[in-house]
Amino acid sequence: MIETFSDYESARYKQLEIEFLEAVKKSLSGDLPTIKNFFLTECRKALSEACNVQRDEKIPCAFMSVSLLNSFVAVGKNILQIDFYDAKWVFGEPFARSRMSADFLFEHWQKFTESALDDKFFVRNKITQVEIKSLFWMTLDKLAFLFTCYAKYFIAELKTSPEFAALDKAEKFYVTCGTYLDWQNRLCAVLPEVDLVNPDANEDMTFRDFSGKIFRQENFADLDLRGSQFEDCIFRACTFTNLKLADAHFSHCRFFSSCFDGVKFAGAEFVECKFKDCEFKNSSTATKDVDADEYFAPLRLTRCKLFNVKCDGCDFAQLKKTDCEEVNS
Amino acid sequence: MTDWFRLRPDAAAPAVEVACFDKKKYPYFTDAESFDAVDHSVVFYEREKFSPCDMLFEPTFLIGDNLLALFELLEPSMQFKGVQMYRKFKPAETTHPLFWLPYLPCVDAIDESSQIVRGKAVKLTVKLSALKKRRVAHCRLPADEIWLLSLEAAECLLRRQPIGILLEKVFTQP
Repeated sequence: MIETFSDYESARYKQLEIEFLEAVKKSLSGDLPTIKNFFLTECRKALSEACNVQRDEKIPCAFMSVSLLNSFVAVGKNILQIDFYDAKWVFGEPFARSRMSADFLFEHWQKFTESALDDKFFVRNKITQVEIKSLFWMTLDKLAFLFTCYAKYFIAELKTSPEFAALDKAEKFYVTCGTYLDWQNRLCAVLPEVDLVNPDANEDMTFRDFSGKIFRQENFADLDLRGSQFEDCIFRACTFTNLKLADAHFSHCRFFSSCFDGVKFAGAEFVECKFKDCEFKNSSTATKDVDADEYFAPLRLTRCKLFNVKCDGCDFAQLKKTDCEEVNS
Repeated sequence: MTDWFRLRPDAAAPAVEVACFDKKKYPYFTDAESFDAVDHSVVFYEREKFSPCDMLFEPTFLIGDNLLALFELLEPSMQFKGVQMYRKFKPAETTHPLFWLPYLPCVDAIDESSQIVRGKAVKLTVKLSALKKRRVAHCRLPADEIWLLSLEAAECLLRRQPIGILLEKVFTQP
């Protein structure tokens, strides 16, 4: 029987928490289309309402922030709140706010909390239930983080919705998710165009969009292009060196005689892309190379064509190819 | 626009027998007069073990030391006086938690549509107009000391993993 709170936390609570988060992951993965449709529908409704406010108040939106509300969990309700802020976020109030049910995240919550409070496993007069309950807020933090790890993969669809297009956005606009007035992870963004070849020093290159660009004999080195989107781009005889392409998305892009050396591909996706005479060296899909605590989808190649593509010294353990055509000379 | 929550003790929190709390010095309702009359002080208790709790609601409302900075940030006009709990019996074998007696003038925020039974709120409704720009509010009924937190304040509190506290969502009127 566990007699001290610190022993309880390390010997029992941590394991229960791991099991709870694994069960949530399984639910999210198993029911992803339904959850995605629900979430995106609610986001679109929220965007419509924000647009209505903007019609009267002419406030450009800099942040669309989705937050799991711990205070509502405390009163038995599971809510995600969507706040729309202008550029003065953190110092100002949202100009529009909506809420949606977060029940889909809490399917396993009751079982988890009941197990945690089960006094068959600890000495009651040495460890109190209220002490154990205080750990729940930390677990909710991890639950919110887990949700952001999944939401980042379907939020891009929101960008194609008419409601998203109708929102008057500030020069830099982010969709974020996390906890209310605390940490927030970026899910997607609409940002000014930047020069990928000669970026400004210290320019944040994450979540950028590149469309219809042609790059010849360029060397892209030491850039963090996390979450960036490339559409209809051509890369001829280019080198990609020590890049972070975590969660980057390439669609209808073509790579000729290009080399990827030391690139981090965790969560990256290539859809209907073509690779000819390309080489991948010392590159990896390992999540620890980006963020050991975060969940990343595998590197996905969907309906891609690969002609004479070589791999040398790469760790592509997390790779998923779907309907790809491969020819090696 | 914001929601409001009432601070409540968790019924699962072990009762704290602070036998030596002078109820004349620390009445259930802390008003300006009783707050001015008291000074930072030491209160002795006899219980075998002081179970950890971040707030006490009896014999009067006290805030635990690890929440003081948060309340000072949320409501700079709040005043506090220290109450050091000290166990008389074998003091070396236990902890001596520090609490703070808060004072914040009451605001008339209880809406007439609240359901009140024998001086206590059964269903509390608050007037948002009286709580504008506040994050912490202190209200009173004949038999009920009420501490309210805005959504923002409630979220800040919960991130600190408080022990022994519950939140109750209150109804609001414009």
